[in-house]
Amino acid sequence: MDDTSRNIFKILKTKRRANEFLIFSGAVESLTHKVGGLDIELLIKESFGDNRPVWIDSVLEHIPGFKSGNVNEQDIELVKNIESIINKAKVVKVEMPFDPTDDFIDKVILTFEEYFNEGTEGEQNNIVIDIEVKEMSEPGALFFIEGKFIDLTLRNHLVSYLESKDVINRYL
Amino acid sequence: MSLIDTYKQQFTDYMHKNQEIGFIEKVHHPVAYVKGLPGVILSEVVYFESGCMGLVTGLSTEHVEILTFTNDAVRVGEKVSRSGEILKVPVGEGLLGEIINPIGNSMYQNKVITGLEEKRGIFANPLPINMRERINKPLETGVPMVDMLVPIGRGQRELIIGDRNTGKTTFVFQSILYQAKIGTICIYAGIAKKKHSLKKAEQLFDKHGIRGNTIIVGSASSDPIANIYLTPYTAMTIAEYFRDKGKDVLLILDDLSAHAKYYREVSLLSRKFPGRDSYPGDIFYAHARLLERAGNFNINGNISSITCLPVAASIEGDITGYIQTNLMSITDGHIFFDYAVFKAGKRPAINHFLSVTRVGRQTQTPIRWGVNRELSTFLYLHSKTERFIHFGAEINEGIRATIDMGKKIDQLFDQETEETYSMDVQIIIFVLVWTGILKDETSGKIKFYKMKAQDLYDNDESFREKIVNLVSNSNDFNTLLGKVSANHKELMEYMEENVS
Repeated sequence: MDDTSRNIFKILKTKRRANEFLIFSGAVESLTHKVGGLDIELLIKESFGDNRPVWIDSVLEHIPGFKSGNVNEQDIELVKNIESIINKAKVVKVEMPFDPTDDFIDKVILTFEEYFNEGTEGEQNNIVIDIEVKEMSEPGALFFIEGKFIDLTLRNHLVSYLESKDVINRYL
Repeated sequence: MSLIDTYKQQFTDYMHKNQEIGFIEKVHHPVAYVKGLPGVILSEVVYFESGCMGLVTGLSTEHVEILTFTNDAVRVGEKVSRSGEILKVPVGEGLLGEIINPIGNSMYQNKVITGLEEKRGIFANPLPINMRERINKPLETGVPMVDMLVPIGRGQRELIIGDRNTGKTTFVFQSILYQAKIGTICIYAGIAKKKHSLKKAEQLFDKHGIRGNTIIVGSASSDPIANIYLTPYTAMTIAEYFRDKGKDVLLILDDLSAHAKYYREVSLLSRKFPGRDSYPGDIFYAHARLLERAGNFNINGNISSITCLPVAASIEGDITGYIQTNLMSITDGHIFFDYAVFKAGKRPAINHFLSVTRVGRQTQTPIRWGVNRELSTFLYLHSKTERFIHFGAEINEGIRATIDMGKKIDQLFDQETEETYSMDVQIIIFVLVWTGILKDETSGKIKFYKMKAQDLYDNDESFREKIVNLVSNSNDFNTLLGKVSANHKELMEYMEENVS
């Protein structure tokens, strides 16, 4: 994978954005053989209506052909590379009561990338975060990855803390 | 707390306990394909977020295949947690008299079954050959035609096969009525039956006061397919519990052809490659593995048995169907209920010429062996004679005697649905017919002697003693013939005098 593909993938980060990108790339690929230039703005409008994705401008910056409307073979190859990274990426599902910031998502991705890529050589594992906001859920977050379940809720932390001997030594 | 709430709670508890989760990716109701659950094993119980239970039936690199215990399909994206335990049912003496579903819960809502001792995995392996014993004790069904012509031994697996409404279930109920009365634990597994049929079975057992020795494991045709699929396995697991307690068990699986159909449905939905008649390739294995768990066993020096009577439905008298022939080859014989015999008005409608018992004869006493031999030879001759007189041949003395005796034998075998006869009574009445003592009696009178003899045998100690002595003090059939001939007046007068 080249750096451009990886950089674009890093912009996407979440499963929702990745899915939006797949819709967009599908639309671009279907117009590959269209005579004349590509009207990218029209394509975005047709694909997403008035909900213009937040990532779209950053991605277009990396693909000059899309911006100018003269899409060439290399641009399509690049899109296909990104699609491939998305499809191979490991999905980390997170359930939490609030919409996280990009910083938070970056930290989560970094943590899991370090975990999965530790000791691996060659192709690195990429992470996509699937965020489900459940406003009524407990404070904290639940992580689901590759069939494993990690409970990082406040309640679980409190219970673990109270169950530890440390709390007795420190406060009683 | 409702069952759904219980399962929801179990889902959360197990998720936290095992720290594993899966997500449904595909649903072919009742089969769900789940991604995740890395440590799950085959036959493990799983719980869904929506409050439903499932059983792991297949593992692949992509998915975990789960059979769901619900009529409503689970949804894609739903979470699943693993319990870490294979499917087990609670067993114990407390099950006696109960009517339960294949999960081991009472069919009566909110009824809690007490007296349960342990939980057992329902897909247990059959006991090895060194724990098995030769079948050497008879299992009487109380149905003279079967006990005399197609005898069954304790630990035998005898297929009950026949068209719909030919009396298969009636026969198995008669066997239960007779065996439960003499202390055998009787388990009736009703597979995909109507709910009212299960209720009727329960009422029948109540009526005859045998509830305490019986267990009904039932699934209705409206139940989830998983429940139907598990019914015979649960029934067998309960039977094994009582076997291990040193008790003889009679297990009825009614019926395995319906079980095969539901198993086929699940297999096709699971995308298993269809074989003959679209049944999956492992249908023989599924039934053989189940029925191999029955037999006569030696457990720590105690002999105990599971006699299994699987039922199979045939279509238009065709006993060469796939499932039917599979079951024939798995079992130690079969009793064929023939629609032609049924139409001829004979009850039970058993075609003994097409019925087979492979091990039952080795359990017979010399007298029973004699009865069997004489009767089989005669019935063959009778059938040949009946065919012969169809051509309008002149009927001589010998032929008339054969035809008359045939009629009397038919009257001897003729039986009401809830009647059962002890072996000794069967033998005595047969000898009375065979020696010609009852040759001038009407069918009503023969029926009277049969029923009276059984009634006195059950309730009159001195009569019972007489009958038992007559039979047990005779070394062979001919001796018995002589003794009964000598004592018949006394016996018949006793029956006549004791009319209530």
